[in-house]
Amino acid sequence: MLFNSIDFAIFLPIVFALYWALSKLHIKWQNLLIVGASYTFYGWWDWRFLSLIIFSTLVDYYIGRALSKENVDKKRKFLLWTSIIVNLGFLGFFKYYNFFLENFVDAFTLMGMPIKSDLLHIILPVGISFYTFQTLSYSIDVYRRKLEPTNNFVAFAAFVSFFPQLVAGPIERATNLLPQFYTKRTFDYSKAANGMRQILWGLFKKVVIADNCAHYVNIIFNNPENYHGSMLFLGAVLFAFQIYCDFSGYSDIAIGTSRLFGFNLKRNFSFPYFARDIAEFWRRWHISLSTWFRDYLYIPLGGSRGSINNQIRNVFIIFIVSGFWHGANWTFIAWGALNALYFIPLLLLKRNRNNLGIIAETTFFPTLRDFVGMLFTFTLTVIAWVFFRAESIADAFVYLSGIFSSSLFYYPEISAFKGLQTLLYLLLFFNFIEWFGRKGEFAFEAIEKRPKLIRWLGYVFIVFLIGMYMQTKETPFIYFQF
Amino acid sequence: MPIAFLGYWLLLIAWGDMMDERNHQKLGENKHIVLHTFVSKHPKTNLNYPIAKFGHTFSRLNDAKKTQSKKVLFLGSSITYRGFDNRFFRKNGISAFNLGTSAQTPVQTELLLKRYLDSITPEIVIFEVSPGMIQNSGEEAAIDIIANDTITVETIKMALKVNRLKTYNTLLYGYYRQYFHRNDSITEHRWKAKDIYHINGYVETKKEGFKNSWIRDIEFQQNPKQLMALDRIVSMLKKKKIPYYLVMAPKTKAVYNSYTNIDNHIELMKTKGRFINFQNALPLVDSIHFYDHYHLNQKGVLIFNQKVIDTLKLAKKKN
Repeated sequence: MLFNSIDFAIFLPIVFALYWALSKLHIKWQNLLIVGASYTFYGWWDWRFLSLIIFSTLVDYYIGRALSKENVDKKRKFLLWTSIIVNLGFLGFFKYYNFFLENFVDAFTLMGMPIKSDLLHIILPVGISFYTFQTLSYSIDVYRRKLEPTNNFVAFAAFVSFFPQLVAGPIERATNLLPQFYTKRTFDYSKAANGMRQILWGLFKKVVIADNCAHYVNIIFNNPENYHGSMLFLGAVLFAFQIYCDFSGYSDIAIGTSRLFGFNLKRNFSFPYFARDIAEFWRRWHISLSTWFRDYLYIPLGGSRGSINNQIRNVFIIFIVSGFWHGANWTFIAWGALNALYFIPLLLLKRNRNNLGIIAETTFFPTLRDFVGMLFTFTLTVIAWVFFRAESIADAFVYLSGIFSSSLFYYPEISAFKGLQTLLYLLLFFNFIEWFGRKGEFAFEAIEKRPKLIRWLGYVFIVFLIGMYMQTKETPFIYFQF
Repeated sequence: MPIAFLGYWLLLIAWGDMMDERNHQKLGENKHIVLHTFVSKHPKTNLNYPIAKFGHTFSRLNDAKKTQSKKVLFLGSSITYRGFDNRFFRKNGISAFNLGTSAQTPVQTELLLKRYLDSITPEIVIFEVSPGMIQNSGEEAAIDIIANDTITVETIKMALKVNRLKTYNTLLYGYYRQYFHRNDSITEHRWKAKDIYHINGYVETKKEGFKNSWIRDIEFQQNPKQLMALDRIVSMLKKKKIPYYLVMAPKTKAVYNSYTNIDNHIELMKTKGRFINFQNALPLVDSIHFYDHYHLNQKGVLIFNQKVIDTLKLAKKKN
């Protein structure tokens, strides 16, 4: 079920009420409820997917237990590789089988040896890219002896299937989330209130900003030949906000919902469009995935140590794999490769760790240098997003060639789109709130310190904007397809 | 929570009044520009209050309130209010009222019948049942009726059946307008562009030429809420012993042939009562008798209406 659906609006209060009603009993009852609710949540999409997540849970639970009893390095490695092969095997089959088959056939056709093949009609289980990485992190951390394997199957199943973050992250590390299932949770009003604030803000980002941007993005990207370069650039900017608000909105709802149940999830986005360089952008965007790749792929490969060639190789591997994680299409690989090209100069000039703090931390306005850095970085990411959004590499180049034409300096055809002007004002409002709240966990958190009247006016105003601009058709979150 | 809801309602009212073009005219041109600096002229929002705007629903429902005792009552969507010319029926000695409204679905038809059936007291009901009405959510038609008719408990029930955010917002705004008598001075012109409203509900079009457009294949889905509403309508008419006909008005060949599961729809309608499909019963030419793929022009309407009278034997036999 979608977070922005009536089904979830009914599901959540019921689970919330039952969960805290069980708080006086042993913790296992709360965890059991989490497991039951999470499987219900997940099975709502398609009950057949449950078998995969249950199997994945069982495999990694028993591998964890086996690792705790095994001290022979070779056998420990064997157990780890079993977990990796099972998890990545599922992911590879469901997500990439047809991609590899199509490209295999195309390659042989190009060489003049056409092969007949039948693509399988494979349904991609929702959230598979997320929960497989989550369980893999458990197996790897147990193997590395960073984490004690658990004997508590219910707690482990709850960790794997925890419904707020099951289908689109954040990808939680076992070291952070699993121990929270061992300790009793007590209701904390201020934590729950903060959670509600974050849910409200996440909903606003998703249904007001992302879904409305999507409407125009679809029109512009489907017919780029009809628009000036300036309009195409605006379309790409709208997509940048669509994907940010869609994905970070989901993360906000996931983190806020978790707070309602007494859990603390890691932050997944930290105002990435205020980044002053591309390295900072990648420290702020989809933090759970980028740190996962850093810890489990980049560092084992050698990271930024070793020869320059190795460093460049490692950067390319990370970004291309990250792109490929997003989907079985060359466009995602191209997007990853382009980001690698952006990043490498900073790495080689040792400027990739220049901007570690909050922009304009002690002032309201950024310095001119920071402002130019923000604009430049944002423009680079917008260009890269064109590959992410396009159906094919060829379409992406057609779109970009449309942007980088003389019509880039024409006035964009805003008035040709009903409601676009209003959306641009909403984007202005949104960015103002984000800028104002950039020092907090999430933008709307800043309202917590205001007087009660201002807080409630703020809540009512955001709810009003949601009520006025929410699309009446339920639109799924973009990252569900990953 | 109640205060938050009140705050939401107040903002809705402020927004609705700000977007009301009648207020823009009162404020004058300069302030008109200022308003439109902040909000585009046609924002896509979940509040739409089309009072005296589309399809002459405002005039039609005002007429319905004053109408009593007609022989025939027509129900349905714009295909109805543009397809059954009650002047033609009157010339043939048949008094009629056309209660069609834009995009009307059975959920709205049920509400209108509850309101007006007992005063109009028809001898026969003719209900145009094109497949689209069984599929649609009814949101557009619900908003049309909320804006152009009195809001009562039945209106709230209708909004709950439609269950769309835009409908609820329009209901909240509409109730404010009704409570504070903001609509008392509203009037509607008979002439709008090339459409003329005639008393008792028919809208005649003076549009010339045929507006062709690309038609893609359509497979209709049946909306369970609409089917249940249709069943309730049939029960209501049977209980009041009012004979009724379910009819399908003719459309262009291109549109009719694009319906991939039209036979399913026809079979379903036959189970609900006497059903007549006029699609292939008339010598109509798309480019001569239609002004778009769904609506007959005046030439086509007269041919169609004569056929309806003949088929249903509505005219009194002359002695």
